[in-house]
Amino acid sequence: MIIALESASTDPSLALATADGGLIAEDGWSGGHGQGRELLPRLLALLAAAGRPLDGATAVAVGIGPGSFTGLRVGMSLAKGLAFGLGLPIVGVPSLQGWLDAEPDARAAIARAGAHDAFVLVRGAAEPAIVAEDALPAGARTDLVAAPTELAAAFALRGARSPVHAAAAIARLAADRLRAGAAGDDLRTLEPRYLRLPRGLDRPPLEPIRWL
Amino acid sequence: MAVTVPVQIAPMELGDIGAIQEIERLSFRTPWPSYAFEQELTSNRLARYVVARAGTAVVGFGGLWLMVDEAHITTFAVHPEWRRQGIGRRMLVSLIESALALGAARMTLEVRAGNADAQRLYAELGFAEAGRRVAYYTDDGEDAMIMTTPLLRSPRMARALWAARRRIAGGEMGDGR
Repeated sequence: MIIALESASTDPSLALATADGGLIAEDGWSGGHGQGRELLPRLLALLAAAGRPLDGATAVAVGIGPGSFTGLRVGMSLAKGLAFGLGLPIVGVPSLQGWLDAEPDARAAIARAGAHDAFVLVRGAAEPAIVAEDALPAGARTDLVAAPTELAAAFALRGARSPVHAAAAIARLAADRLRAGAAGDDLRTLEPRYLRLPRGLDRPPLEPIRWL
Repeated sequence: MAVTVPVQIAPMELGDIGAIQEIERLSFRTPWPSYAFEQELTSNRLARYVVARAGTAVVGFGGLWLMVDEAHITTFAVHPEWRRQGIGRRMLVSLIESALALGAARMTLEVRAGNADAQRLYAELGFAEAGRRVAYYTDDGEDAMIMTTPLLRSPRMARALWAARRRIAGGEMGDGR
């Protein structure tokens, strides 16, 4: 069983899937800024509801962003904790790829990148771009796109659909990689792909504190 | 402005956040967003926030986080028109009392290196400079001064608290100079 977590936005999701990516159970919700707190209790509830013990897991899949800085840190920490504690392979999957895979008709996946910008992955493009709110691609506001509820309201994305099924897609993408013989990612070095850090972190590390 | 209505220190409530945002805007270059306060009040069990009310108006606020045995003051401000009247002292004494009730051993905070008025208040209540975070503030690169108290249950802190409560009871304003 693959445990998948996706927490790159205020609409996080969780999924349990078979080793070949078949969906067993999933959960997705609009969590506001408290999304990080809910991941673990909701995962335990999902396992209990599906009647699957945690030690039946064979791999952990995790969305690696880009997106919410804190959401990604919380999701990555939980995924790594599970993989380390249970001795499982971990597979990082680009979050917006998962969002697109979960919404096959969506033209783009759009995540928040700070107050006025968005990460935009247009279907077919290799990498997400950072785009200002007033420079979104044509159709982003009217066509079907995958975007969290909060961002859809803030940027008036009228065709937006919440990425609440993204974890199930991330489980499928991870299953494909593992079945192709890949070993998974390095637990020690896997980290979120932020593309851009929040204000205050996008600068050289601070000097050490000068204690008196 | 003279104090014409009694000022009370009380726990912060969600309905106070609008007024707090205005004081934030007048006091800080990089204010906290309103959802940060909402989250602190609704879901951070280790946080304690107070406001100073003059009648029904919120004129100051402050708060702390308990981290293991240390209470860290996370934010603290008095409305510019209500400064130098002892309101900050009353809020700080209230936060120290909260820290004691939570079982904190010490308190700590960061203050702008150039904010002498705030540093004077903190020093009156036992805080002393412990170090500097160089170029800590991202908006202008100012250093942060780290100030910490001795053990809250030490005689030194007890004396500082006693003196501050006496000044509050006597209606003393500002820094008393």
